Amino acid sequence: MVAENLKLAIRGLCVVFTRRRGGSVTAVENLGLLVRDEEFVSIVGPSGCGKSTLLRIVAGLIRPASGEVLLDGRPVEGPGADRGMVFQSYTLFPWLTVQGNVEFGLRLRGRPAEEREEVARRYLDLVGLRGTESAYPKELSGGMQQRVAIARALANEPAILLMDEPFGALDAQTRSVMQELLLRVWEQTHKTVLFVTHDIEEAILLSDRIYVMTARPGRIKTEVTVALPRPRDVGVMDTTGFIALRQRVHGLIREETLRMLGEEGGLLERGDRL
Amino acid sequence: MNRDRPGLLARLSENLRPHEPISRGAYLAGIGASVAGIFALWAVLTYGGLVAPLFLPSPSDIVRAAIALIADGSLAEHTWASVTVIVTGWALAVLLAVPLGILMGTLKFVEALLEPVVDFVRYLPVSAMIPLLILYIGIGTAQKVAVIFIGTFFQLILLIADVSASVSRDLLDSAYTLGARRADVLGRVLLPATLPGVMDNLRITMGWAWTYLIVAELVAANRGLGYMILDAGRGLFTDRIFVGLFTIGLLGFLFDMTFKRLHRLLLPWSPRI
Repeated sequence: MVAENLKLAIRGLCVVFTRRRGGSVTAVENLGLLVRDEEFVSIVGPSGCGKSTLLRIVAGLIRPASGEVLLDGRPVEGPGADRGMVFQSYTLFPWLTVQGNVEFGLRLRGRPAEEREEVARRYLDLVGLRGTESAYPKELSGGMQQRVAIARALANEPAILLMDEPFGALDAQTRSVMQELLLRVWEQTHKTVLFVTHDIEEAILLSDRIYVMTARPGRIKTEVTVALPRPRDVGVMDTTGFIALRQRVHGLIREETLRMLGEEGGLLERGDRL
Repeated sequence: MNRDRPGLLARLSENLRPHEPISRGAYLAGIGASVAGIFALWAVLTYGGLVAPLFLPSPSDIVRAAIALIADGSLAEHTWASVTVIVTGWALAVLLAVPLGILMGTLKFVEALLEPVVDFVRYLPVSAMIPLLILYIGIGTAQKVAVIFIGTFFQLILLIADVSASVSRDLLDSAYTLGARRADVLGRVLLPATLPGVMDNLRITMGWAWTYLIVAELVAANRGLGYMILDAGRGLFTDRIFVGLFTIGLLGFLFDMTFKRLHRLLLPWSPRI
């Protein structure tokens, strides 16, 4: 990988959780990955492999036991506005209007009102929510709330956008619409994105590259490059290239899931052995 | 039963499906039936001579007693005395319990400091503390306020701690990822996020404060609705006891409505309204 356009570098990352009754669990072990500038990278893996934990470490919300996380060459030491994050749960501030939510980060940094308004308008336009400025979150559908959350994170102009299964709580139709919206947003902004999902098709549709993680303790199992042409839309999902990738990634995750179930004991018999 | 006009039984069963909404008309009919039923039963028992006036005065006896108590100004005086004591004791409890409760639910260390004390004291009957209160602060209004304070403070602090502990972690984390520092997260996110729950619990504990009224006015009171009821009981003026009870019920109802209004007015964004 070319060093000069490197955005995010993670090396030798280990995460250990201590159990309440003593003892500890290694959630992530010796994990390394790289994200280039203006690249859309997804992380997929069996459930419980530590993909969300990984994202929270990049966000600075969790401290790793060891290893380094470098953003633009500087180590991540805590949360900051340069790493915007969109969560799976609805995290709009219910007491602020849509406008107030999108302006939140700018207000923290004491930006003047005209600038805040201008930026909020730009990003609400980008996610197609012009006209909802004065609505409270409780008046919005789940999909609209997540669009505002994306606008809120982007309005801060972070160096990288972290997305933790942002469409995981939405119904299938809304999710598909949101994926297309995110494709368009990415094509317009070319924001560097690190995206966690358990939806293989979503990962392929959106990404330039996909990291497949192993079952716990989480490591990078393999890296899959998505060479499908851009700009993309959902139509790409019917192409043979897409289907081949889906089968490959599916097979990789299935291997891990079976290994994990096998270790838990008894569930794998005879013919199911890997 | 014919098809076009369902019978009473069918209509009743239509309105008795678990958790299903019913029409406004059916709801109002339920309210009407409840109030009318109680009054009808009351009228039959009293005017029919089935119960002696000593135990249950008739509606007109109570209206007569109420008019007399209103006319000589004593009802207003008693009401004002009680409202003052309750609102003062409750407001002091709120002023202390809300910030402490928010900190207790947010910072594990504050929880460790407060929880043992609160869990111990909140099981002590307020009435059992009266001798100590008299010893410490005498038998004046302060003692009555203290009873209300103790009755609400230790409950409210736990309710508020629960509200602030249940503020979603992701909400705080998203503030951090937007560049918020710890003080911003406390002041700009945690505090507003607790407001709907705080409002709900202010309403609930105001109700509890009223239930401590008799205990508060047990010692050396010469005014207040609790005193009025106790005094009427000594003289077997059952009608005045009922006037006192109705007044308390009505005030409780008004306070509750006010809180619900305020919630809607002050927190229009609240998901609870």
